[in-house]
Amino acid sequence: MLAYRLFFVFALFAFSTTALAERDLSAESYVDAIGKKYITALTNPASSYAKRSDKFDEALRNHFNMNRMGKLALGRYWRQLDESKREEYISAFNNFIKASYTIRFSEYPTASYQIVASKVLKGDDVLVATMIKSEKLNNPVRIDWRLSKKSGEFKVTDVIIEGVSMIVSQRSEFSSIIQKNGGNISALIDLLKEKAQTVNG
Amino acid sequence: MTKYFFVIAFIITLSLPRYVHAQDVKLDEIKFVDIDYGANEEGEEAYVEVYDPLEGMNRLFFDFNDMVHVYLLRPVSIFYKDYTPGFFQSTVRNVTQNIMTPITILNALLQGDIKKTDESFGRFFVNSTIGLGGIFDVASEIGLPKHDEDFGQTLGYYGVEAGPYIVLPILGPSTLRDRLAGGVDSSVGLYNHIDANYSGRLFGLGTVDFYSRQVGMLDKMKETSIDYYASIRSFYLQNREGAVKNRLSR
Repeated sequence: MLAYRLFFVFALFAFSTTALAERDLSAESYVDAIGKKYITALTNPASSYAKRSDKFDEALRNHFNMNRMGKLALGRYWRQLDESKREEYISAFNNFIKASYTIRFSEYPTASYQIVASKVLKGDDVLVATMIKSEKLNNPVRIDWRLSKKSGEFKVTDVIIEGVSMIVSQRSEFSSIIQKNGGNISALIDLLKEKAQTVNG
Repeated sequence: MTKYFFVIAFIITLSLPRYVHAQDVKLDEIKFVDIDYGANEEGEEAYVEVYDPLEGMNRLFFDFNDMVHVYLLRPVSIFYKDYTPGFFQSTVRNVTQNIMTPITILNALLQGDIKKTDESFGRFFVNSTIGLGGIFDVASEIGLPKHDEDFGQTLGYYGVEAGPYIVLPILGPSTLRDRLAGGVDSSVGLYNHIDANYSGRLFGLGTVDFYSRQVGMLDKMKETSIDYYASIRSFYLQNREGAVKNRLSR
């Protein structure tokens, strides 16, 4: 036991040198502002679906770069769409995300968050890491917010929950659907519209 | 017997202060990933994310498992959640987690992660003694964070690729690497330990407990997905990759 303790005294010294990562405090305060404004409203079990849906819509419009997200989620297929199809897809993507994530939010318990770190990436995107804590959760949940600048202002372009990126997941699902339909992107667009409707209905 | 009790109590008392501030997240422990969306602003190339050569078979077993969930695991879990006492549930959860801790200790050690080894050892020690064999999660109360390391993560840490995605009946989703590694973990004892958000644990009370806490989210995912299989696959693989690269909360 003594050896065990000595070992850890040593280990403690070895690991006490802290290498400071490059933080971006303005990005952190941007995420903090979104958090303050929306976390209670979106996870409040007392508020109705319609109310939460409106709130979420507001958050998406003000703080998310939905065009870029939609584009990234479609991946290489984006190039195959003409201008009018792109608009149709982005609008369907918007409604789909709004409907499906409002539903998923209803499973999230009321929680508090803490901003723990941030990192500036190549190409000026910034990742802000938050830890979500709740009495209902066994363990804290890590959520990373990827921000990119759009005309000088930060906008969210991806949300990564415990390693799972929203963009990567959606893309995986979308490309699976397109492939199943022999490369037909319209099939995906129709399905997105249909899903948004059934979920809302 | 009394003598040992006092020795142990003394050691525990000595150990505690060291752990009190363990919960504060330190900046240098936070790892980030710069996701490569695949040179994709103009869609230059496909983003290769999944290796699923057995997709046909996997989808078959996935559907089978989904039926097992819908008709067996789901009702049992909901009964468990709604009709068994909270204390019983927390006991099941804490005891199964405590039993599995040696797997984490061993694998954290194999990866040379002193801090995780230390904290996990501390957890196992505190919960097995004052926590009465894991019934009470005293370690969490004093701020000793939970970690999860298994042999699949250790192999990944040393560069072994995940290999093809494999869904097996009952056992659920995994990869070739993690499925083979699971054998090593279960020989360490105690439990088949594959713990992504969507678990492929063996049937048992631990499974029911785990599933009972995921069932709401899984229902919602199924309801809001346009391809549930692809959705879970992406979820599983990304989460697993994050676990291997130590980018998750634990």
